[in-house]
Amino acid sequence: MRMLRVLDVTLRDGAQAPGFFFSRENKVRLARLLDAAGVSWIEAGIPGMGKEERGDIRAVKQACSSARVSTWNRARREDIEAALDCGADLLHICMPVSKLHILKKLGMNPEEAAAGYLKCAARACGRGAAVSAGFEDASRADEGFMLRLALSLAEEGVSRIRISDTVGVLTPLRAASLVRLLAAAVPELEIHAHNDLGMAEANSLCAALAGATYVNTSVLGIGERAGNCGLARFTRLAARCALFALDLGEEEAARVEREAAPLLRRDEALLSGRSGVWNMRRLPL
Amino acid sequence: MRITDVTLACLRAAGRAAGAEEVDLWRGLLLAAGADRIEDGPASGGCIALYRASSLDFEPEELAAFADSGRRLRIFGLDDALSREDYRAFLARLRQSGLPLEPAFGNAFGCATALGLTWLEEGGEGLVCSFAGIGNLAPLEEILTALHIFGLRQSSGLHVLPRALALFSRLGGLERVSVGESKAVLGRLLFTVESGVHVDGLLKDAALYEPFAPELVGAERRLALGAYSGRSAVRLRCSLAGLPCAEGQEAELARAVRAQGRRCGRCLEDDEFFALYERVCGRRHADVAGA
Repeated sequence: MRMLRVLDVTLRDGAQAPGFFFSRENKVRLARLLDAAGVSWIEAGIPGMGKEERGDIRAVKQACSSARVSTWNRARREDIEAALDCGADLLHICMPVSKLHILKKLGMNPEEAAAGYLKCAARACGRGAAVSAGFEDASRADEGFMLRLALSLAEEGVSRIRISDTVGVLTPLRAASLVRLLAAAVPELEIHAHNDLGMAEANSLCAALAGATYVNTSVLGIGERAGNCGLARFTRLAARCALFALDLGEEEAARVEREAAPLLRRDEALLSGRSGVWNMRRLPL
Repeated sequence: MRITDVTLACLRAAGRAAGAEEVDLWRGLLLAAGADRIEDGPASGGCIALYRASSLDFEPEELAAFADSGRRLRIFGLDDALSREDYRAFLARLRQSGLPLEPAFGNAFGCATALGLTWLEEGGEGLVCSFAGIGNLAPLEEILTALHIFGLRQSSGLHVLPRALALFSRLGGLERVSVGESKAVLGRLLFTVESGVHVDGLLKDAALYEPFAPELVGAERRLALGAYSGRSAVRLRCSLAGLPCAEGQEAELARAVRAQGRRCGRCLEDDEFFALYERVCGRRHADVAGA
């Protein structure tokens, strides 16, 4: 039975949901809950946001006894320097891979963008950092471009790639297919699913079944728009799968969400992003 | 492809019967949104429940015994079918059985939409859904929107979904069927943007961070200001409200917005933003708005 590990992004992606702000105290409390529950990785923040954020990341790192801490970074020299200064265990570099993102957001062509990503990855790896590459908007990107980039990144020392379904348009079949494609380039793959079409947990599970070894979750599924793959919901689903062992059990995940809900200062049912009708009976036959 | 909505039957089972007028209105809205059939009573064909993934070991040929003289055979459950690697093979065997099957996938593990979409994507014909997933079924609005954006079936009437949600909430009683603020397709905060990177993306091209345009599902894009808002967001908010703001004041206003967002732990209300604007820019919102 192989291990499937959770990398929780509540403190980074969850904080981007409208109306949420985590004070340092609350970040540390959330991190402690996740750490105590057995979550392997916590994405603690974005060093490039400034000194205060970097202080928060260090505080989260200090608060964790077993969970390892990663940071989210743009592929820019100054952001990489800021991240190296935080002492996190993993430096995650976001690399937009769809033409739409590369052209409209970065104002580059794909070749220029890829060259910049490789330079950033080489810089971080050269400084001894463990690096993961985040393929932003992978679900709308050209597969050939992603595969070539992944192979080049592996040569620079990147061992993990995150498949980011940035706008939540993956399906179970396509999630599995992307994992199988990129598995040819790097040994470790991570799935980051959004819930825009109500399939975040299903897509994450199918990616794991296809070989992904890390799944991104967030507490109560909070995140941009319809949110992310929910920690407790995914854990419940994965527990039914006999093919892999997860780093935390469904009871631990449920406890994290119960105890975290007051910190998030919203009604739990509303926060979960799901309909409040879940508790109603099944449709009678 | 035939999508059946059983929301009215679910509400009835929960003791919330709709009146004749409401039933007609519901029928009109859901047919406009893309459902093919609205069911308001017990299923007319045979029914069988396969509640767990272990049920996948059931041979599809055995289903023939439940089929009722050619009428549709509805299969309930299979909530956790995705947890088995061979779920697609099982669905394929079901399709190949030649029976007029209509799965009503259960949603206890949040997989009903994925299962329903996979079923339809690979050639399945019928699917049973309910609005917002009431009764533990695949949420109709997710299935219809997914079919549309994946080009499997076009629907020009998805913009009626907020009206359907309002009627659904009235029929179900708000205290029992409140829909989450981030509920896929229906949530009121889906197209609200606050964080700096996403506002920046919105200004460059809204498609960067949206799976589909909000208008498709009758929603509107909204800008919220709070703990993560930067100058771009403040500039855009001022421009939308017709408030002049000098470049030098934008940064100060953005700092004030972030500080208040952090203090409150939520997005700022319009009044709160206008008060900050007055403090930083020295002009009353009422005096300059739209001038």
